Amino acid sequence: MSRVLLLAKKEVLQLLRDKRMLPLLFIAPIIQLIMFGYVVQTEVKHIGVIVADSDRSVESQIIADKLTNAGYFEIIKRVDGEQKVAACIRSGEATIGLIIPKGFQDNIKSGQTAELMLVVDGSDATTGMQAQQYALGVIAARSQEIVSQRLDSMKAITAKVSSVEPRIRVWYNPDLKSVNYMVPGLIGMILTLIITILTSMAIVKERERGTLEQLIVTPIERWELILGKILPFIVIAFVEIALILGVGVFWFKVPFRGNIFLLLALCIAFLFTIVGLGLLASTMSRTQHQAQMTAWFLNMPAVMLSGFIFPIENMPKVIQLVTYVVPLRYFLVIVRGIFLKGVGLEALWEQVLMLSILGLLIFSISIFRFQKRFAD
Amino acid sequence: MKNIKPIMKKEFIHILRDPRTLAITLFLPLFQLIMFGYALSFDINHIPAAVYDSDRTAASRTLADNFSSSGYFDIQIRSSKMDFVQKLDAGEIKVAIIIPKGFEKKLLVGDKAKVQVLVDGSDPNFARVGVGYSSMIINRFSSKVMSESLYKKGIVIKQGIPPINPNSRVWYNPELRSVNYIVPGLIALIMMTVTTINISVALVREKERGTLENIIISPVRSWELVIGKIIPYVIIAFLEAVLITAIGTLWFNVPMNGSLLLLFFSLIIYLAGTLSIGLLISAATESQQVASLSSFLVSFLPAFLLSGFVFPIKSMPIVLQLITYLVPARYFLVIIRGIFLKGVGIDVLWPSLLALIVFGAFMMLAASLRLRRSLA
Repeated sequence: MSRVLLLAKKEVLQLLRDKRMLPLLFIAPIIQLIMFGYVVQTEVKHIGVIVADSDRSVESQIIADKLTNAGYFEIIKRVDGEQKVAACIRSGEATIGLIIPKGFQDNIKSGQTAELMLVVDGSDATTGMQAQQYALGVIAARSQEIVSQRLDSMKAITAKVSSVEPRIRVWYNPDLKSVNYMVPGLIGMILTLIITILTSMAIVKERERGTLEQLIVTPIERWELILGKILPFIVIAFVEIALILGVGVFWFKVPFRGNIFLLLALCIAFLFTIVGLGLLASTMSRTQHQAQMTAWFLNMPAVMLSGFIFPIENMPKVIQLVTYVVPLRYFLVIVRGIFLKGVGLEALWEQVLMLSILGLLIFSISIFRFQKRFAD
Repeated sequence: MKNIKPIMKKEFIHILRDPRTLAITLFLPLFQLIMFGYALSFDINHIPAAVYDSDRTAASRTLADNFSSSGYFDIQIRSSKMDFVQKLDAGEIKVAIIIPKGFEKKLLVGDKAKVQVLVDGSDPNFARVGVGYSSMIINRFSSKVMSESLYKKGIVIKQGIPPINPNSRVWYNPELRSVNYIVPGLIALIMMTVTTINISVALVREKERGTLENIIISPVRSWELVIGKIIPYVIIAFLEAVLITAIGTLWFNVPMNGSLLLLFFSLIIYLAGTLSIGLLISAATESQQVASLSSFLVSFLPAFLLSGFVFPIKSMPIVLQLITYLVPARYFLVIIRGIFLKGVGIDVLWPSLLALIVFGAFMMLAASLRLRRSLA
């Protein structure tokens, strides 16, 4: 065991030889946390609107006011003709154009259907789609208002009309704060990105420099070598977990409803899978450059296909099958469940089981390959 | 000037000597584009949900049918066991619709019937859409019930319903296909990460191996070294970019409405800039591990988060909005989406192109200056 510690000490010394390593290890997660915490708003705000109002009436003014009051839109320009709308959207100044034709108010007053036109810039589909939904919602609400005003005028007859009332309640994250969703996920993401890259390069470094031979001729056992190599990264990982948890809970005020010990225990299970992935990348590489690119190759799907940002439910069936071998997928459900829902093993056992199986599999394959390469 | 050619040649030999890394750099982007082009989308239309129908009448069944035929939900109908808490906890369903006993009876006597909807808010994106769709479906059902009940009383509403009818038109991407805006964005993201990460070890590797001394004693100037190192990578990266652009248009059918020439020209400038960042990192670090971690930090994260790739810049806090001006992917994204989807030319895109040129020139200068220090 003392040999393991010696090896781990050597690894740490080597790791910290570049003075930038230590700050990088701890600044990197903080920067990521802050970026994700503040940037990832799934709600789109300040959408630029250009209003072409040919009616210039009270009704057209109400619609424009309701758009701005909803908080999503900013009216950039008010113009007369429709022509200017096109130019404004083409240059990207405005995302949507609202065109209110002449006679808009007269149509409403006379009980007819008044038309108006929305032009949406679809080239940025996220903003475009949300802008369209918001705008249609605002207009529908105004429409509904007019209907109920009309119904009010014949109140006497409509006293007893059956209707259905939706009672909608949002659980776990009632304010729908994105940061509550992102921060727990970030624990998994940051660990995946940093630990796989570092582990994969650590072993190849010895091979590249020719010092692996020296290690082989020492009386060290193989399991000791592997353990000594990965031990520093496990420690680093736990410090980072503590850091993210601290900033998340105290700075971003993310509610932590579950059991912290359960979370830490499952973090260990997750760490084994990603350290295993790093080892696997290192057994497939001869140079650090290769190891880094291979780790990157394994990492991108881990981010994109884990459900961290892009929902798995919407992926095509074939790709959904691929996501089953992405360890982060299970860990995300676990960490979000413990954080936001406060659930325990009774709800998460399937995820835990899958994660453990996958971790064991990845770890044994990498050890097996490592042994083989070691023997060469 | 004459020194540039041998450096280029040496770098090419280096690259070609490691065919595996070359293969990874060439095919990784291809693979990523195809995979993510399919996988990533924001169209949420398979929300896992369950209807708990305790009423089991014609009316409750119609409402449940409205949910399953809406196309937004993957609905399970469960009439007996009220296990929605467990299902929400485990994340098996994201929306539970609960129709209470006596639902139909209330509608028959002209009362208000209530339907409870529970939404898992931990993923705000899903939750918002889930809330929106379920209230829409219930409201629509309700207005049908209302007009039927009014009709029974002999009242027919003749006035224009709805009073306001918005005609919505989407430009540039009429079906709001996610892939049309994801693919150009992916090209920008993938190219940025692959180039920066790939070149970031180019110099530091020589430092680790001690071959940098050879260069120091040679009469090569730092800017010659920068250009000589970058050109081979620009050529490789450009080939990749052409390849994935072709895949984007031919495979994913993303419309290419603008000038290909302008796209390629901006691409070369973009790549020269991102590669210079990588080289700057390489000059400033002492170990490949640090170089690789930092290049990840300055390439992938900003290009993913701060470029407007998925998260609209306008919704970010003002400080972060200012930082986005330092992210080259931000400008390139405007250019590539403009050319692909809007078909706009240099008359609209010149500010972004100018920004890219300034950025590239600045980064190259910074890399040469930093390199001069390392060489001294």
